[in-house]
Amino acid sequence: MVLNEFVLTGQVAMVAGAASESGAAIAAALAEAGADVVAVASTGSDLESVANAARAQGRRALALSGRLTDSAEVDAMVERALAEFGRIDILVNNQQVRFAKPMLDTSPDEWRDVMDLNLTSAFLFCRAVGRHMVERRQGKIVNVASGMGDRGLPNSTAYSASMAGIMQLTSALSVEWGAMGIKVNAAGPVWFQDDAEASGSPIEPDPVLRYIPMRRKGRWEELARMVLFLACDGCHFLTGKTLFLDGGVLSHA
Amino acid sequence: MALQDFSLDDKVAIVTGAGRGLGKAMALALARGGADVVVASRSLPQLETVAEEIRGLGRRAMAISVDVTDSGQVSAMVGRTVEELGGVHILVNNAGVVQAAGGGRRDDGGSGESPALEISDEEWSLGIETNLSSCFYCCRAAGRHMVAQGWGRIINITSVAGVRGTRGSPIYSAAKGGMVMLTKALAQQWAQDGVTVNAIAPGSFPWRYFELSDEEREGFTRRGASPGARIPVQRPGNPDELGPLVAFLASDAASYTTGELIVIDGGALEAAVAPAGYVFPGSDSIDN
Repeated sequence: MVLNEFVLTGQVAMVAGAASESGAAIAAALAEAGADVVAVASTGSDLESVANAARAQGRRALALSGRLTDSAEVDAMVERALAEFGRIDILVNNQQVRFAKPMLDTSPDEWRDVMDLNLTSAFLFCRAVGRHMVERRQGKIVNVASGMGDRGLPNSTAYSASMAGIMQLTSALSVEWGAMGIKVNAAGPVWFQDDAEASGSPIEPDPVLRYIPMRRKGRWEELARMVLFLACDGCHFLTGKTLFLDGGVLSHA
Repeated sequence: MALQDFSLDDKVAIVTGAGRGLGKAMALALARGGADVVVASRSLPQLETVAEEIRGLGRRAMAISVDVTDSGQVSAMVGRTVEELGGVHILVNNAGVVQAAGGGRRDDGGSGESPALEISDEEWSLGIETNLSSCFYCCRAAGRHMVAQGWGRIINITSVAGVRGTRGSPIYSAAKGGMVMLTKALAQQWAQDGVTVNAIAPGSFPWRYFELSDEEREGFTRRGASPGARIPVQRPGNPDELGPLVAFLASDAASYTTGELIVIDGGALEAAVAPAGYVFPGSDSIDN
C-alpha cells in the first residue's frame, strides 16, 4: 500500500534538465507515479529515451529542447507545454553544470555561464510556469540544489554560489508565493554516483567513501524519490526548504 | 518501481504520544501507507480509539500504555511489539509536553511563557526527562532491534522551538534542541547499519484549533494566538500534512537521507520577521 498523496495520476510535470542521468531518473519516477511528463533540455540533447520511458508507463510525454538560459525560449517552451497538456502541476528545475575550477582561473564569462545555467534558468522557469500556477493558485516547484550550496571545496566557488542561490531562490519564493497555494522546495544531493561509476565498477576504491557515514554514494533513483515526495499533495505546509540526501555527511562534525 | 519504494507493507511502527493531535495523524498515515502500528502514550482510552481506526484500515494495531520517562516501561513496550507483531522497523518519537511553568499553555489561556527566573529545579528536570530522555530511551530500545536486523527508520518530532529561540519555555527549547542533536549523533552511529534517524520540526500546528467551535476559535484568535499570522501560507498546519512527510521518511524511498532536520512550518522560518503584508523595502530600479 502507498499513501494516495504520492500518486500523481492526471498531473503534468515539467522537468528541466531531463536529459542527464539524474533528469531521466526524475522523469521516470514522476511518470511511474502517474504524471504526464514534459521533458526539457538544452538544444541538441537526446530526450527520446526519456520521453519513451514515460510513454512506456502509459503516460503522455512531450520532449522540448531549447536554450534554457533564454527568457523568450523558456516562455515559448512553457507555452507549448500548456498548449499541449493544458496545465503544469509540477515543475522540476534540474538543469545544472557541475563546473569546477580554481577561483583565479575562472573567467567572468565562465562565472556568468555557471550562474546563467544553474541559477538564472531556474528563475526563468519558475517565472514562466509560476504565471500559470499563480493563476490557478496551485502548483509544486522542486529545485535540485546540491550539498555544495551549503558547504565548499576547493574549485567549487562558482558552483557553490550558484547552488546557494538556488536554495535561497527556493526559500524566498516560498514566502512570496506561499499564500497562492504554490509550494517551493529543493532537493540537495551530496556525493552522488557520476555516470561512469553507475555504469561500471570504478577502477579503484573512491577515497571519498570513507568520509561518507553510510560508506556509499547516493543513487539518482534516490534523488528521484525525494523529488517525487516534494511533488506530492497533502502537505503544502512543507515549503521553502532544501532537503538533503547526504548519507549522513552534513550532520557529521 | 518508484511508488513501491514508498510502501510500508510488512513494517511495524511504534508512535509515541499517539492518542491525539500530531501523533494520531502520523500513526494513521503510517497505517494508510501499509504499516502495522503500535500506538503508545499514557492515556489508554484515547489510544484504543486510534487503534480501532487503524484496524479499520485493515492493519494490525496495538495500544500500549507507557510512561516514556521510565526506561523499563519503554523496553517493555518495544519487547511486546516485537513479540506480538514480529518486529519493530519504524519509531516515531512524538511524546512530549510543552512546559509552561509559571505561565501556562497559551491555548489553555495562559501566556505561554515560562520565565527562566521562575523555573524550579524540579520543573527543569521534569521537562528534560519528558521531552528528551524519553526520546533517548525509545531510540535505544528500538534501535537495538533495528541495528540487529539491518533496517530501521527513526523519526524524532522536535519543534521550531528547538531550532530558533522563542520566549516560550527555555526547558522545552533546550529539550527539543537536544533532540535535534540526538538525531544527528544517532544518524552517525547507525549510518552503516541501515538505520536512518531524522527529525521533523513542526511549526504552527495548533491541532486543538481544528477541534474548536467557531466561538472558541474566535477567542483563540483574539488572544493573539491567531494561527496563520506571519506564516507565508497564511494558515496553520493541519496535522494530516505531517502524514506524507513521516510516511516518506519511514520508507525505502528515503534511504540516503539521515541526520536531517526537516522543518514543516508553512515557510515561517524562511520569512524575515515583519508585519503582515510587509514587503522588502528595496528600490525597483537598478542604476549603476
